Amino acid sequence: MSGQLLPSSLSLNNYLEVFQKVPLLTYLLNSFVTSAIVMIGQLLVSSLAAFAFVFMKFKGRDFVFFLFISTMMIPWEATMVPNFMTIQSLGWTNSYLGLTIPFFALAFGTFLLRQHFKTIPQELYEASQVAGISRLRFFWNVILPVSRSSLITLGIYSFLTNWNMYLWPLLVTNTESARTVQIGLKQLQTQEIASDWGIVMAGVVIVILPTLLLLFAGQKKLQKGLTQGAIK
Amino acid sequence: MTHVSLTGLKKSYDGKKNVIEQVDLQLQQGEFFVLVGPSGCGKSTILRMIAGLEPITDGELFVNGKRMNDAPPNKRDLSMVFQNYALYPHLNVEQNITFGLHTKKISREEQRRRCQEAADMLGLADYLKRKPRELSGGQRQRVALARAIVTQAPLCLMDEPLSNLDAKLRTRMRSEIRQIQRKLGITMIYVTHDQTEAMTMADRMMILHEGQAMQIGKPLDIYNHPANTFVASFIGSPAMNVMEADVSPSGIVLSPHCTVPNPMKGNVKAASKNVQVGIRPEHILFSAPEQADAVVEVVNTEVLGTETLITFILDNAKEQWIARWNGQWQFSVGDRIPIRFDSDAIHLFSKENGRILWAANDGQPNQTAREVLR
Repeated sequence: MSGQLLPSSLSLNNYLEVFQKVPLLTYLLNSFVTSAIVMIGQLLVSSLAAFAFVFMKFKGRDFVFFLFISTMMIPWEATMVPNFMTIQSLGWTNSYLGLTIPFFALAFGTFLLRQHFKTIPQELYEASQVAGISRLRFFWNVILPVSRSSLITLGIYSFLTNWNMYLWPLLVTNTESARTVQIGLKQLQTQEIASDWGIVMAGVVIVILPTLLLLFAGQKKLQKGLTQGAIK
Repeated sequence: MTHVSLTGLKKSYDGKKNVIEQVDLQLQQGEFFVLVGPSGCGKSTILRMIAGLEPITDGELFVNGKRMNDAPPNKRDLSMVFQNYALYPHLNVEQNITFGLHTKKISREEQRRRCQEAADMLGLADYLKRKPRELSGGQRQRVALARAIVTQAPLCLMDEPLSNLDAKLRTRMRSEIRQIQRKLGITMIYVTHDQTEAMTMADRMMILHEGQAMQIGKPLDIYNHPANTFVASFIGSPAMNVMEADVSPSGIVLSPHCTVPNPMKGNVKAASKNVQVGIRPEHILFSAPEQADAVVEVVNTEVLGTETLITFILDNAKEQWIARWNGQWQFSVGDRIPIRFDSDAIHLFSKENGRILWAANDGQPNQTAREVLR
């Protein structure tokens, strides 16, 4: 068997074939939609929770927050089975609901945004109280624009995490039309006895592309956001 | 007409210790009132209670005769300027100034008109499209002022608005704020730790110490007639010299070699006790050697151009005294100079509680000042 480091000719056939072999376009769309929904959901839920933890005074606020944070110590795998049973009994399998809703509440996201909100002077909140601006409007018109970089960081983080998710989609989907890309990739590998590595690699490249694009586009923001709390 | 009235105002965070102790105060319409005291005395807390940003523990707050204890801040019809300006960093100057006006159901044209008016008044017209971070400290301060002005609220609260500015700008803003307040006829409650700001701006002021109102009154009355040693040493720069001394009917014994006449003369009851003597730096005078009350040793001189501050010690006492003389005086450390105390200007305070026993001229402006006033 002779091998060459560089192929003698370039061909895009594998890329075409991968689309024919598995419904990659459906998978891509599914992944994109679930990732986008999870991203928006996480941003919304985390930022609202963080806002409450920073700007609203209530009894036991810090205790609730630490309780919240302590859920980060519970591994996702430990809660997977009960989550699956809930989703199943709700009849959300093979749907976007089952793929997205369980991820909306994110302790890490709440923590990240809380740390950023804490750097926003309380006086801004007080000034808007004196001006008669409602809490929600203050949240929407002041807090969110001011913490744009942290929101972008969290958004990219949650999009990528969801894009790369494997185990959960495998559990809650069993039809072609509901599957996501990561499962599709695995399918390529084991469909035949001897995997056609050319096709598998082509599929991998296609799946990686959005990740890379997002990373390149958001790299500056990501760095800024992740180190922001650290030096202040 | 009474605009704001506080009766028996108290604040406690833990339910046991009061950080604000029984504050009673009536503010007239259009008055410039200053709350002044060292940091931690509770002046900002009082302001925040009036604004509604801090709940009132006990006592009552009336605005225009209406009880406002539990009203939310926006229902109290006031504007507020914060120490760090509290400008919204993502909005430009114009948006910052008009932020929140829509809640008062003010049309867009009216908003723009008011913004333009305030910007012209404060010299911000060229900066309306800039973001706060592109402005200097003084300009940011003006934006915060403009934001208070455009609401046209009859009551304005300011929490140390000038403390982030440099000394020169502070002096200028002081008179600008005062002029604007007069022009618009708004009632102002102004918090500061700087006694100069209080003296120069206030119609009336309240001196606070550890949550207690020490004295309320017109700046000059307080300067001339301080209620206790705290007020005496807080108001005036450099501070009043306050020393312990023995008082006998014949005179006040400041040191073994220095006795000055007792201004209270016949008042034997108070005279029999040990007291504290207070004398302002400007009432310690340079004297011809034969008329001198004492010969003192110079520790330090600060020549300010129009006046000179001389720090000295009297007969090896531990305390240092400060005298303020007009003109430029050159002394070296260790020089011995003859001085005289203006005995009409001596204040006497109780040693136990610091309360005033006798004030110079009994609070009246002294002779020369009164003649000028006529």
